[in-house]
Amino acid sequence: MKKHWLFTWRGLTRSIAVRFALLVFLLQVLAVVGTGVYAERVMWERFERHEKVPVIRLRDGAMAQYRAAGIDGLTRLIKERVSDRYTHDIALMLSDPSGLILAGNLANWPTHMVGTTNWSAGPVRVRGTGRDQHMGMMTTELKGGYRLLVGTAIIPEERIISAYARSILLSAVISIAVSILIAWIASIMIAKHLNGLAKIAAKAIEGDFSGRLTISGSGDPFDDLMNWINQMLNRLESLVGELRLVGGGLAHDLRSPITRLRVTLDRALRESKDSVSLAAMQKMMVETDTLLAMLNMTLQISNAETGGGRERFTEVDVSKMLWDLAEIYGPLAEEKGFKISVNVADGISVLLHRELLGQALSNLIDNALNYADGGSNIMLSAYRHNKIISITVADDGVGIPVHRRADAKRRYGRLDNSRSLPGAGLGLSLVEAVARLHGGDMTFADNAPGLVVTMKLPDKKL
Amino acid sequence: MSVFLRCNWYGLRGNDCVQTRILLVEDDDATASYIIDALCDEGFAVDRANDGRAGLALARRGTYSAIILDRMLPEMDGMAVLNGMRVSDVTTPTIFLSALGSVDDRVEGLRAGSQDYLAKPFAIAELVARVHALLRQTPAADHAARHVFGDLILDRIERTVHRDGQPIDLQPREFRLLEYLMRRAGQIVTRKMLLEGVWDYHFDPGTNVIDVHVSRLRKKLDEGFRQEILHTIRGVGYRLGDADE
Repeated sequence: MKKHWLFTWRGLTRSIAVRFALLVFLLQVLAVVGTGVYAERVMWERFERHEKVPVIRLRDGAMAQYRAAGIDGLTRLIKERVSDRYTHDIALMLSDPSGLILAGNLANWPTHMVGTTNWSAGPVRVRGTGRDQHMGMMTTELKGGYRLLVGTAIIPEERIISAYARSILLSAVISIAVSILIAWIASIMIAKHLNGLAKIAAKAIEGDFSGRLTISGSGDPFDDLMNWINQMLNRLESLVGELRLVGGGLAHDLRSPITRLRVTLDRALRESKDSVSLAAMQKMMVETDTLLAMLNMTLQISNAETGGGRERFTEVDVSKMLWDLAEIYGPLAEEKGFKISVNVADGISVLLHRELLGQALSNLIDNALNYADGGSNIMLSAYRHNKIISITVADDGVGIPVHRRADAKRRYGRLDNSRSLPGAGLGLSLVEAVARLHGGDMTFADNAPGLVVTMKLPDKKL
Repeated sequence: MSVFLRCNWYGLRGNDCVQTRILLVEDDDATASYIIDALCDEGFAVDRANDGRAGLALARRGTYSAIILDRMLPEMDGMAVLNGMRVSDVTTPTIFLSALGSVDDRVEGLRAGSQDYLAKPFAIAELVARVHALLRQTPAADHAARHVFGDLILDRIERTVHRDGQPIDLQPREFRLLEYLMRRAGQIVTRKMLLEGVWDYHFDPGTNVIDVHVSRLRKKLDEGFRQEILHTIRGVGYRLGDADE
């Protein structure tokens, strides 16, 4: 069974739905990164401003007291504030020029807070508490070498960053999910449009041009495509119809006069006593029969090409058919210096049109007998491989050069330009039409030396 | 309903014309006309109906020795006529003429009870030979243990052939060929009839294919005998019988 396109590398890399999903994903990533960078900048600005305000207020309060009451007043104020044992979320420290702490609630002076610092954040420990706290702090140099430190508890930066990272991660996960969903929906929508198209194309290949695609009326490119394809089918249908009409009409018109010709000849042959005209009439009779055979073959080809007779398929023992054909053609082959051999396993049976396959194989054997110059062996074989039945007719004659093989398949196509050999150039056309009627094909290969014609038919059962 | 009786331009030949009446159901005037001509040449009397309903009405009279029935007919399709005949217990042997170039009606026609089938366009000699075969068909003979024709004896059980008391050694396919010819001794048998009757294939073989089989059989049958027994009928087929028949 054919693997679903989603499970093959080629399918994944070349599928329109997957490409579309990748595009959606990239666009989403771009959007998330863009808004993320902008949001981060704005957020940090606001955040810093917001955090600094209480520290500045605290410092301004302390400085007002210092200006009004000097170092002693400030010392008093700080002692008063930190005596409240529940005040853990602010830091207040005052040191003299020698570094001695005059007042304050921190266990010791943070080592990185030297000189006047505008803003610094870091872990500090408030006396009477058991753990470090994250604080944003400012230090101010006072007259005479005294130093003041104020600070308030803030949320640590890492926590903000990790929260930020989490939200980025979440949005990435959502983006991927959305991309997959969009790819899935897109592939369903595309498939829905294209499946109808594929079905109708498959029917058209088999000769049924009656199917049409439904048009949504939206006027989108899909609608355009469906519309063009419908118009193409209309044209094909009318052309094929005309062709059939002309072919059928021609055959119909030819049938009566040729048959009448034959009747008249037949009658004249019986009545005539003149040996010269008798010989001429006999030649005419042979030509008339050739004409009738060509007419029959042409009608069979057009019938098979337009899918006629498919309802009459029966299960046929191909192995037996090959043995029968070898028997039927055996004596003639011997007269022409050929030996027909059969290479087939027993019981290869398949659903097919018995008469048409018989005719096709008979044409192939006839061709080998007539055109395989220098050959002496004809091999009929059939084998089953991968749900395909291959039936081959091989000879060891001159073969057909690769560049002339298309000519050989063409209807009324002849390889002997002089047309001195008998035949109408219909035999291989019929073989190909019959193979196609069965949903298969006909191929040529080199038998080195000689030609192998293979009919590949799907292995169908009742 | 349009029925007309015709006989050929050359007048009646023998008494057969009075006794052997054939019904032709065919809507195409040209086709009907040359079939009638050919059959009258052979000494048959022919009634023609040009649509299915008229054909069925005539067939029900039961006075025909054989019926030639076209597949495509106005009013009533050939298949319906065939079914109508079988419902009315009309067992007249029937040859079914199929649509243009189609071999597919054969199965359906034979299933509906026609004895033979011919695809259009056909050689008129083919039709005539088949009409003769149809008229002389005796179902019992098909199952006879031995066929005898003149000094020729074919034993189906022993699978032996003797001519004038001398054994003739035949290959299995030659035996089947001879058996088919002996069942129709005296009749013209066409190449197509042989391919159908002996091998059960319904395609058009190259003209020589059957000829070679027959000529090999003839060699074995006639070699060393004064009288030839297997004759080629020019442009038509073969006949097992006396030279002057």
